[in-house]
Formats: sequence, structure tokens, C-alpha cells
Amino acid sequence: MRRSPEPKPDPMSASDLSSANRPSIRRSEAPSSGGSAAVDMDVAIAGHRRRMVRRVVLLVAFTLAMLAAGLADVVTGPSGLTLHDLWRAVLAPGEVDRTTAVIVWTVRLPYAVMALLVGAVLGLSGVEMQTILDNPLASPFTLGLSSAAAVGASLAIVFHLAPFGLPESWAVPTLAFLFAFGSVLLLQAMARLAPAGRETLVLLGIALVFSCHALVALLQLIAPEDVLQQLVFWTLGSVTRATWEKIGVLAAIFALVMPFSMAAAWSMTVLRLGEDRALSFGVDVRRLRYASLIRVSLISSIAVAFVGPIGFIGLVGPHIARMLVGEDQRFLLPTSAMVGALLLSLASVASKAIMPGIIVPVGIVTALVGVPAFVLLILRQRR
Amino acid sequence: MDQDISSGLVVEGVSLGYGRTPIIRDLTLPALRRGTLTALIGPNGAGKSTLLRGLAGLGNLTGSVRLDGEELHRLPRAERAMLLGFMPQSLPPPISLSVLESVVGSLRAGTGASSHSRAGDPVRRAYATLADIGIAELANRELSALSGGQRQLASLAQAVARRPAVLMLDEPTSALDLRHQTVVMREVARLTREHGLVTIVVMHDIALAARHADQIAVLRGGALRAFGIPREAITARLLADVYDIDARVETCSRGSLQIIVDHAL
Ligand SMILES: Nc1ncnc2c1ncn2[C@@H]1O[C@H](COP(=O)(O)OP(=O)(O)OP(=O)(O)O)[C@@H](O)[C@H]1O
Ligand SMILES: [Mg+2]
Repeated sequence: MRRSPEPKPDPMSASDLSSANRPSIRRSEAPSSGGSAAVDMDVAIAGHRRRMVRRVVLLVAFTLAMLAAGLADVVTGPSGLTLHDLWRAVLAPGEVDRTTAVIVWTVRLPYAVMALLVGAVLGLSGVEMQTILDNPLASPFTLGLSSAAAVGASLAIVFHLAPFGLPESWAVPTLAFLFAFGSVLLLQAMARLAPAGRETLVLLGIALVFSCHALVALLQLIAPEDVLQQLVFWTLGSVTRATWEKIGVLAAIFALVMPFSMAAAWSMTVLRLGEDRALSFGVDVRRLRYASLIRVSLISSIAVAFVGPIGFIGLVGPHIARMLVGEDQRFLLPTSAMVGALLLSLASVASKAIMPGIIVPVGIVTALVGVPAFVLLILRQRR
Repeated sequence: MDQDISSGLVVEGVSLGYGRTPIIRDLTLPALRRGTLTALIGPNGAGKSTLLRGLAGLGNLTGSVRLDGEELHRLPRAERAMLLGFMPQSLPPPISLSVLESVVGSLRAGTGASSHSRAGDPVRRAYATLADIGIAELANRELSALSGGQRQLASLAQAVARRPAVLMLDEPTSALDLRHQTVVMREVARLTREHGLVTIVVMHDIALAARHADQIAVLRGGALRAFGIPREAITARLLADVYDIDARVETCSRGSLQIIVDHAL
């Protein structure tokens, strides 16, 4: 065990004491005598930098992997399409035949982009929920947000509700969104009444999942034959509902939310050290929790409203990201978003490969492939 | 350090508790001067942690807590957090965050963060703190890969690195070996003296407290039972009174105070 040499007055002190009569704990940072402490410091800081660099490299790698998965997603599908066709359809739409252009621009590209975007939203939402609620099981799905959205969508479909005189393609997602976001506000209000806020929220969320499932089942029971299939299909979660307008809305809100999340990264990192510590460092924990919950509920409600319930990404993405980059939320938040995007994009590719000629709803794929992968991950971690 | 009368921490008529259960009622402490270390002792459940959390601004405290004449609980959150350093009794969880990162986090998080990080490179400052308390070699180890005692030292570093004026440590040595107990107390005492801090340390080891503290405050049932310099405050009668033990208070051949517990009453 090394002791650093005795302190000497350091040049920082003048500016340091400017704030009134507050004395500070100061130590010499680069002792002149016996450079070994200084060398130790440089070695340690180099080690610290290497950790950072490794994470940045990982972020870059994930960006590339995401692009590759997205590309694979665009070129796979029932009607054969080569990279070359894609290239031409994107760069010079006038030169390819109409069918190719239509397939690329109204089917393949929007689906692929939506998969990436929704995956990123779910990954980010999940990791923030897990951090602020201090619960590894928190996610948009487990908090009942997806289930509430399903109730809203089912109501819209069964009763042909069209709030604000919206066309049907927007009425269903609008109602789904209102129910999802409303459910979080309700949960938040209820959890406030209870003394132990954090666990209550997760418990109430799970209770909400059950009630919503019952409601959806009830609606399916009374639904006329002709809308039943539509109903069931909605609850499966699929990116085939993507349109460029929806992508635009989701991307815009995501771009608006992400900077706020990144700005709260340090506060969330120290929150992981315990609430008392975060409070003593001057973090307004209540506000942090509230703002974060509202933020991620907003984006995940929109995502779920557009594509339907997709489980697992919001739960597993954060866990994988945590294993890769640790708890420094400056890296964990974007990594989790990227892992989510990558997972959903790969699931979208798989959804076309499972049964030739049919696009299996991606919600089914994430659960089918996700569960075993997750179990493996957990078992490996425990060892 | 100028030591005029108003310089130091004054705790007056303080009450706090949990929900509707009061734990501390109308507690007043003699003024704690800057540059002095106060050991807060007392049996389990005496209210030591409750009091410390309250002073650190984490409980629903009523009453007056003034530093150099300034009412602390009227200060904005950020300013207060700059003045107060608090180390909770619970260890930081074993998460995958390096010790250095956790200390940098203590400097960068919160609303007062910008002023903390302005005073030099946070990473260098964080490392210097680790070196001071003798855990420089743990800098890049993750909290999840540390022993309990090592995590306790990391927790201490997080509180100390912020350079607070009032340093409140809740059982900082409870998980430490004999050498580290001494190293930590010596370092805390040195910081206290050199920088004119008001330091309050909760501890159970009375001999260790007597060795390093300028004064000892004894708490039981949320009330102050004794206060004074160690040699005068710690008596066999007090120990019988407060801890319900039959104990001797002796001076060893080197002159330090020793407690020998004969049996529990
Ligand atoms: N969160 C809580 N809710 C209700 N009562 C509590 C809570 N925390 C502590 N108490 C009660 O407050 C009293 C004082 O507890 P405190 O933690 O301050 O004791 P302490 O002196 O720090 O004890 P120890 O030496 O065991 O750490 C105890 O009777 C305890 O049961
Ligand atoms: Mg305690």
C-alpha cells in the first residue's frame, strides 16, 4: 500500500477558495519529489482511458453492426432483391422498374428503419426504467405500457373509434398511445400515494398487465368476426405497420428525448451507487426519476402504438449492454439503444426467414428467439 | 484557519424521524468548531444514522443547522451539496463501475457539478483522493470485484473527493482491518485539521474514537447522553448507563484509552 507524499501548497488553491469561506480538501496531484506517485497516477489514468476507448470502439462496432443488420433486413424478403437493385432503387429510383422501387421504398426500407428505431427506443426506455426504478425487471412491457396500448388499440378497432376525426390508420395508434401513456401517468400517481414508491410502481405495473390482458381478451370475445383477425394481429407486434410518417414522428421524438437522457447520465450513474449517495452529491433524485419516467414512457408509448407490443427487447437489451460496457450511463444509455436496435433488426430478418413467403410478426420472433438467448445469458452469468 | 466564534457547525433544537415516528426530539449539540473531529457513538438503534442523514439534508429535519452562521437547510440544493459530504452506512452495491469512475461520478453528478468539475480535471482529482486514502491500486477495479472493506474505502473516497466543509461519515471503518481502520482515521483527522473541516464520524469502536476524535458525542434513544473530550466523556458509569455493559476504562502503557468489557448487563 502506497502513501502519497505530504501535501504542499498547490497553485489551484487561489481560484479554488473563491467561493466564500469554504475550505477544501486539497492534495498535491503531481509531487515533485520521488516521481513514483506521479507515475502511478499516469498509469492509472491511462488504464482509465483505455476503458473509455474500449467502450467507444464498442459503440462504433455497434453502429456498423446496426447498419449491416439494417441492410440485411432490406435485402431479405419474399421477392428476391439484390444489393445492386437496392443500390439503384435508392440512388436512382427512376432507373429501376416500378415494382422494385415500390418494394424498396414502401416496404423494405420503412420496415427496416422502423425495426431499428423501435429497437433503439425500447433499449433506451428499458435501461432508464431499470436504473431509476432500481429493478432489473423493469421495461416498457413489464410496466404494463404495451398491454395498456393493446387495450387502446382493441377499443379503436372493435368500436371503430376515431378520436379527433382521424383516419383509421392513425386512430388505432393514437388510442394505443393515449392508453399507454395514460397508464404510466396513472401508475406514477398511484405509486406516489404509496410510501415505498419504487417497488410499488413495478408491482402495480405487473398488476396492470394482468388487467389489460383480461380486457383485451374480453374485447376479442365480443368482437365481430371481421375485425377479430385484425385485433389478434395487432397484439402480436409487427413492423409491417411502418410508414414514413410514423417513422418521422418517432424519430423526431426520439431525437428530442435522447439528449435529455444523455444530460442525466452522470446523475443516473451515481443513482446506481444508492439513493442516499446520489442525494448527498446534490442529485434531485425525485425529479430525475420523474423526468426520466415521463420521457421514456412517452417514446416507448409512441413506439408501441405504431408497431404493437414487442416484448423482451426492452428487458434484454439493457442487460446485454450492461455486460458489455458496465454501469457508466454515458455509455450504457447509447449502447442499450444500439443493442435494442440490433436485436429487433435481426429479429426482423429472422421473421422473414422462419417461414418462406410469410413475414412472421416480429413480436413473436423476439419472444421465441429472445427467451432461450436470455436464459443462456443468465445461466452463463451465474457461473 | 480563522477560528472566530461563529465558525463551525451549530445544531440546535433538531427533530426528525421516519414518517410519523419521531426518532430524534429537540436535540442540541455544543458547537462543533472547524478543524475538529467529533465521534458519534451509541448503541444500535440510538439514532446515529438518522441524525447524520438529517444533518446531511436527507431526512425531514426541523430545527436549526448552521455552518459559520449560515442556515444550511435554507440553501439551494446545489450549494448545500457542495458544503456537505456524507458517507452512508450501507456499502455501495457491487456494480460494474470502476472505483475511479464512481469517484469521478461523485464530482460530476448533481446540480453543483459544474463548479466541482471546474476545479481541475475530475479524473486526476478522483485519483488523488484514492491515493490519499491508500487505495490507488484499486482505481480501475470494478466495484463488483471488490471485497466489502475495499468497497467501504471506495465509498469514503466518494464522500471525501468532493472537498466538503462538513464531512459526515457513518461507520467508515466498520468493515476495515486493523491497519486500514487506523489509516482511515488518521487521514480523516489530517484532512479535518489541515482544511478546517467540521467532521462527524459515527463509530462503534470507542478506543479508536478516543484515539482520533477531539470530542465524543454519545447518543441513546435519540437523545444526547454525554459530550466532551474522550478522556472525560468516556467513563465506566457512562458505558454501563448507555450500553448496559459492565466495562473498565483503562489507560494502556502507551497512554491510549482502552475499554475492557467484562460482561453485558
Ligand atoms: N427507514 C426507517 N423507518 C422507520 N424506522 C427506522 C428506519 N430506519 C431506522 N429506523 C429506526 O430508527 C431508530 C434509529 O435508527 P438508526 O439507523 O439511526 O440507528 P443507529 O444509531 O444508526 O444504529 P446502528 O448502530 O445499528 O447503525 C431505530 O429504532 C430504527 O429502528
Ligand atoms: Mg447506523
